[in-house]
Amino acid sequence: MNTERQDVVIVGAGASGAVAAWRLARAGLSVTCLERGGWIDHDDVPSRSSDWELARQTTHHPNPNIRMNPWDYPVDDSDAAIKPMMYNAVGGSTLHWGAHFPRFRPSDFRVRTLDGVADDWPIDYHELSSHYEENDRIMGVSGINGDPGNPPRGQRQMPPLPIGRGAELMAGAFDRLGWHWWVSDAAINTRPRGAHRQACNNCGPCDLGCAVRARSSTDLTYWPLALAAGARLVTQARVFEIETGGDGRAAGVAYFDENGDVRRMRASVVVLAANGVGTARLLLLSTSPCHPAGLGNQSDLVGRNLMHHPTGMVTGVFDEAVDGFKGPFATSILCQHFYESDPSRGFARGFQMQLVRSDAPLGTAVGVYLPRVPWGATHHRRFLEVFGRTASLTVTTEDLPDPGNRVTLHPHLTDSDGIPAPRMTYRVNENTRSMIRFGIARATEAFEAAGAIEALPQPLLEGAGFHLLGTARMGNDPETSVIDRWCRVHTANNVLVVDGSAFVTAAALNPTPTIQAIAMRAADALIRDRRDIRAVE
Amino acid sequence: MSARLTAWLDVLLPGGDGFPSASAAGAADWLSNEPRFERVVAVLLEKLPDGFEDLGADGQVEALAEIGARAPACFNAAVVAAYSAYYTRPSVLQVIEDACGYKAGPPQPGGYELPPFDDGILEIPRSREPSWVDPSSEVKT
Repeated sequence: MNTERQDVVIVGAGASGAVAAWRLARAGLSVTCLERGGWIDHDDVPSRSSDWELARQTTHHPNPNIRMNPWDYPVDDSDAAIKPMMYNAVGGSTLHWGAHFPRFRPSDFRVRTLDGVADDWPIDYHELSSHYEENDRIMGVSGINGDPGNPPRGQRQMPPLPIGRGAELMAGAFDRLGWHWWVSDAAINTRPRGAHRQACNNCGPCDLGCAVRARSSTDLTYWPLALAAGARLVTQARVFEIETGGDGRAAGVAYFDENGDVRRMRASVVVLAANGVGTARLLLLSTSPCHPAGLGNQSDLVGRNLMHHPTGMVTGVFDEAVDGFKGPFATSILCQHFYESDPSRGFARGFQMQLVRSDAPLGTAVGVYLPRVPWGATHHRRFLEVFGRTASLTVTTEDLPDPGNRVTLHPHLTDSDGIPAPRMTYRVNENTRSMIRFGIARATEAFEAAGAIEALPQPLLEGAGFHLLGTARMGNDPETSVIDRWCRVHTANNVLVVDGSAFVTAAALNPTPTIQAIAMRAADALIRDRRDIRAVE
Repeated sequence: MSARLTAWLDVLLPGGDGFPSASAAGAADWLSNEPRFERVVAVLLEKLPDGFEDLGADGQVEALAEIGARAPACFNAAVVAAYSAYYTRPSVLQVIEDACGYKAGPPQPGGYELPPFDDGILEIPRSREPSWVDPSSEVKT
């Protein structure tokens, strides 16, 4: 066994791990990041091949249980209404995301105060605002200022993406209904920006990777900066334990290297950035006399309060071609008119409706945004009625934390290294179901106002498990939270959780900018307090 | 390539409305040599009743509907395999290109032209009152 020593070891090289690596290495700390997967070659993405749509159903499916790459780990989702979507590689799930880049609103941090549900965060919007700004600068955001639905923020780095014909129709409908809408913020280049990174050419399938490197992923944004600052990145490294000393604090991590050999890395600080499933899994795996139920799990909260963004969808069919297969699939316009709470609606909190363009032939037939085109004698007629003529609105809801929704360790299932696999248990609560019903009615109303000839609802997208949140929640009280306001585990202050696990509540929008802002803030605090966080000898 | 595979695919995706049947498009040939869907298809073919190929159109549809109701996960996975085979055949994509203007080929490196964003479309939303809640004042700003 080989043992090395670092100031900081980071587990996971995705959205948050990359931020922490750069920030800490830039401050002069010795930093090593351990990543399960490897580097992705952007010149070799499926969208350059004629059978590119097949990749989405097989090798590039967002669900690791379907994709089954050797570097993935399985997730038992048999008791989960929403299935996990994640990726293991340098860049993590930013390699397959739609790059929607909204910020939380100030109210998202105060849901207990405002609405009497869930809990307030121990931090607020204003404490993150400077980190949001700096993160925008590094990731690169296309969008436009002046949205009265959100707090003022700095100038975006690039102008908005083309919104497309479907969005033009829906924007007009929103205006006629008196509903507020705005252009999506997107971490997608609308002009060349960054080394070897071109402007988006509207090819469509951002989820399969970006051949022109227009869509930001942290292997293109943060990692070059982090490596230049001296951070070290070890790929094909599967961490299976955070090792602790006699006082319960972390001494380092143990992992399998690319050859399957066990290695140990000593570190003064361990930073977990492996997403809401992977981080909870690793904390639960890290049992010791001081942490018999898992590191940080003295209050039985690690893995609990798993939150997604339960999503309904309505697809409108128009009597004209809207060519929705052109343009980044997820980013166009959004309507946050129903975002803040209104007790008269019969549920707490709110939702956003995000316009999703449409799909290419196979995606249209298989059905993601709209229901599957039925097989049989009517198949081709129906395909021609819908192909290229649809746009969809998500009903992206705020998921309230529920301790029964959780990540645990599977008693038998393991990954290819024999490390116990996680199990997700997840049910959609009645508040969310009410919200989705209301939202589907509003989205249907919007399509009718836009002149759609059909509006096809889907009450819950099973594949909406792309935001994995809340499983090591932040708080001031160790009895009701796992980490403190600086993302440090209450019972082991040299272990940080900087991914979506830290979230207290989920808001009703895409979390990545907030995850990254929190990671940057936690790294800055660690730099500030580094002398007070002594190493375990 | 088995007659059973061909029959199953052609019930799902018969010819019509300018489209070839699945077998005429080459979907059966492709699927029988595609390891990514080998097991999914094998499971479905096992579930077909004996003599499925000779049931006649109505009988075949009825048999598939029954399997879809009895074993939806297996059936749905097999439908994805069938659609995957069909909608990647060049002759099918050519029909779609002719009918819809969709370019039959990979989206890269060409991408698509779209009109640039027009700021004028924001005239109404830009004129609205602020609508986000400021918790520090607990009033709508």
